[in-house]
Amino acid sequence: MPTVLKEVDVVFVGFGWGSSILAKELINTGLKMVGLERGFPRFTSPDFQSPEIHDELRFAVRKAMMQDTSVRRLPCVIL
Amino acid sequence: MSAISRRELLAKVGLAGLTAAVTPKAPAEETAHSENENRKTDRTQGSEPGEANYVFFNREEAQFIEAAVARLIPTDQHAGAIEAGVPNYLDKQLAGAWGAGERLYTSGPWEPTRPGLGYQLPLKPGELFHTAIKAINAELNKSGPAFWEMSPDQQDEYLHKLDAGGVDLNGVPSEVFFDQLLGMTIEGFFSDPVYGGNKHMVGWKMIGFPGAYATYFDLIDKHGIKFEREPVSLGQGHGHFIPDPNIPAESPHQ
Repeated sequence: MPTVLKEVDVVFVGFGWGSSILAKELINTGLKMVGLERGFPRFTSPDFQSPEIHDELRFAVRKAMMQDTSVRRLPCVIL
Repeated sequence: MSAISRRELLAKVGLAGLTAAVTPKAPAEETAHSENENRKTDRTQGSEPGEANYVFFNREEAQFIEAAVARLIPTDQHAGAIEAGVPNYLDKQLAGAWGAGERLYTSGPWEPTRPGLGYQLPLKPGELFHTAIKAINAELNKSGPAFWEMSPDQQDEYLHKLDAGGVDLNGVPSEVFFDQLLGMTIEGFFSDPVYGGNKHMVGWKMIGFPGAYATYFDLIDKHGIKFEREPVSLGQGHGHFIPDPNIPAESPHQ
């Protein structure tokens, strides 16, 4: 059963770099905003810490920061 | 690909391994001790070429892999795949979680005939390698010399045949296997030595890549100088920063 949430003015689908900056810019407009995010929370340290973050095989090739597609897949979105 | 004689290839790949396996090492204790010492001081080094301790490949699979990667990145004035320990990289990666398909979507539906969809087989990387190499060795066993007994030219010809596609390797299209093999050979040559390849960072030294320096903080205001430091590996345990020598490293509370 889908859960019907309260209606808002703005919904950010994915709340990473781009939408979080956009949200900050919109904060004074008075619009009601919701950010949807399914990824794990990431922090500058230790998640992006040097020198580990320079591991190209782990992050760029094998996408260690991305969704684990063996257990989590794209959600079914009904608009 | 530069020419490499069969003699050289055998010397590097086959005979080195065989000799190492059957010749008693004397004095054994001393050797074991110094090897341990080496490991302690430098965690970026694997075993010597031809001395990989295989945990994933069986003997015939290892012979195929050693001969194949030696053709994909042959030895010339620079180190090749064998010196870089690429077979060891392949073995350790395929034996581990990645080879078992960790994080790999394998639930279908499969559409192998439609282009542009990426990998479309239910096989995990480890299964793909076992299946394909078994089929290759069995096919060659019927008609003549094994892959590792061929001349370099014959080996190249056979690899080109796999690359061109259309050969069925017991359910694995040969071009899919070849792409995976080539991709992993390149990974093993250039990825951090902690993964089992790029031994002595030969791949990085060849292209002048500095590796996993955490920071270049001490170089920010030094302009116009050539960066000539040795590359560093993730396994060498460099910290976050290179401390200022004028500031004591000890905590003031101690």
